[in-house]
Amino acid sequence: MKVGDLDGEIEREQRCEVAGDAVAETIGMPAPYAAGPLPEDVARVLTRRPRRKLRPAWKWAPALAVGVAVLVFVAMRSTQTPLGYQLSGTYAARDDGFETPGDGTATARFSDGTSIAVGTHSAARVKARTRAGATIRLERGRASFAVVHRPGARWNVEVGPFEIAVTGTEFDVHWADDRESFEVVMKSGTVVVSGSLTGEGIPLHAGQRLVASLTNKTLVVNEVGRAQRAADAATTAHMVAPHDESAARPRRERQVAQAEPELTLRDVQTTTESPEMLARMRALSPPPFEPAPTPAPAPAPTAPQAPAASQLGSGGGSCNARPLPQIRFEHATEGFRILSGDVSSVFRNPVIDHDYSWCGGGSLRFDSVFDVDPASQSGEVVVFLPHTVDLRGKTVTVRFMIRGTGDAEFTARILAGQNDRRTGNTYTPQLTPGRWWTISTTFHDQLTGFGNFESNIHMADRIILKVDATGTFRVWSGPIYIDDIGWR
Amino acid sequence: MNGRTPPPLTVVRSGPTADDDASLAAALIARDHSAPAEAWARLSPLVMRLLRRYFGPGPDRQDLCQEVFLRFFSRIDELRDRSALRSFLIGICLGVAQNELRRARVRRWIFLTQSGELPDAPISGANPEAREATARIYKILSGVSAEDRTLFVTRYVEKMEMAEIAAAIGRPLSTTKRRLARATRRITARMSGDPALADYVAGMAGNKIKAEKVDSP
Repeated sequence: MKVGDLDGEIEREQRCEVAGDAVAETIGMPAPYAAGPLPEDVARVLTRRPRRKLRPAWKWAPALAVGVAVLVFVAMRSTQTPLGYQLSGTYAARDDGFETPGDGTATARFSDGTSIAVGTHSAARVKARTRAGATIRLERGRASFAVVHRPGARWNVEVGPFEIAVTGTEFDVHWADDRESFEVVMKSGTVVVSGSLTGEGIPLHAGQRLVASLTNKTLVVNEVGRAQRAADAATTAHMVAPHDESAARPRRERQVAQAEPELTLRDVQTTTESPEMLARMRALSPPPFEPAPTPAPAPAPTAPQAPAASQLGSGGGSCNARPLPQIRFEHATEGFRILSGDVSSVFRNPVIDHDYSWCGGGSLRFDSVFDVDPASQSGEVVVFLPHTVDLRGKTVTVRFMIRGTGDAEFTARILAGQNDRRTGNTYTPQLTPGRWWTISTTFHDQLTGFGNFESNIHMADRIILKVDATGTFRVWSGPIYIDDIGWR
Repeated sequence: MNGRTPPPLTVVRSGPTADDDASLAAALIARDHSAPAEAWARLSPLVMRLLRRYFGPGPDRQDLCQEVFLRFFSRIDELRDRSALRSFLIGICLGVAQNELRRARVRRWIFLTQSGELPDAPISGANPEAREATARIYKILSGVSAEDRTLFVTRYVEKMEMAEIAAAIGRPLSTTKRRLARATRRITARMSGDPALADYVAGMAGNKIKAEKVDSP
């Protein structure tokens, strides 16, 4: 110890001694008998029989207390541990995110049971995790969320400039970052969507669909049909990603070709959307759909190309051109029959519509619902001809329009069929909703088809318009109008 | 005889000796029926004084004194060196005092008194400066740990030897010295924060040093 330290210590002791002297001087000995008489119960402690010593038991008390404290600490830590998750499927991991290739999907399964199926060409990131939930950012593509409802659960999904607050529900999200289009399809529960175009937030409940386009500055909330909800509830008990081969449920039996024709046509004059929904849509955004285009001159048919050829019309047509198409869908009494799909079909509820028509005053309208399920990404409109037709060397032309989400993209082709056999494999790609399309296919004498799909086209009894959702935006709905089917 | 009356005898009671303590300890261990009363009569003033000096000015703590003896009697068989009976009792007394001090602090934390402060008690004594210094010292002691207070009271108020203190608090001598030095540093640091007390202590310490120099040959 240094001399200075020693001096300081001595000085401190002296000061304390002085302070102690002051205390001792002030508080001296107590008065005699200040403690009073000895209580009997205190004196009896000495003479009573000694009790068994407790010390051996008590000496373990500190260790026991430490053990309990450690257990409590571990229990608290375990309850505060954020949710964990595991990835499966085909993906490329990067930091806290992952992306899927064009031919693979991935599923993130969280420790609370929540699963997130990410579709092809998608990228997602787990931004934050807590014990109550997580914040997921869908950077592009499609994802289906099945969030397990728990008390205090807190999940957030960030999509572009939008945010979805979730407490426990199932819903699909799609974000096409290149087109800045956003879609939420609710399957159960409720969410609140906030961000661009949403004001103070838009609550969504089961059966609703929100579609927003930043490019077009439109946002639409509409109801998915009740029947569709029932079908969804039955088919989405386990959520799978699009094309998730490892987890995908068996492909649904296609009911178009095998079902018996059913005449359910009826004439309607007005749209089936409720006034309330129409008012809501008007209040939410500018008209989301393009109006029916002004009829334009029909394009000249191109020369057939072997084995079959298609022609893409640009909308409109010369309604006075002769000969007139064989089926004009002006009335339900023209001799054709329509195969009406059930709730599981992509095209359903056929009616003769008088609001939209390529030519004349009517068209055949179906409600179309395209969904994440691969079987729900392809629909067929089956028109039974009044009589069998020899289509060898003939060109079949079909006009149609889909009023769907502006970001939807699809292909179309014309098939000719007889009983359960059909032919025609020419696609018309990259079609979009909101305008009339004219497509044509020329059937040659030489039979073409897919595998067993061969048809005796000299006795065709049906014309089939097959529409496949393509691109990355495959969950959408809207009416499809078919008009003026002709062959020559 | 010159008829002068002898000067009156002043009877001075001799102080307790180690032999006295050892015999008392033997009587207690033997469960002598008169031993508790004898121990109470002989040792309760020591316990009362220690408690008063530990807690500072205030009412006498007969209840704590009884608790000390309750423990003292019940643990008498743990006494190894019978001549160290007082140290054994002081150790028990300090333990009881520390427990009571901690309980009192808890009571203060949960505001059993309206202001959160314990009521001041009047201090008796002849020297007004010493009374004032005592009040300030206990205010300082209220802010240090129970162990620091114990070491201060035993060393600087009761003037106990280091070995006695170590035995009383049940720690090795070296540990006791180290902790006493630490307690001394803390308490003097707090005393420095009280100018009036610091002046008093410095003045008294200076006088004490001068007196020691004069007394020395």
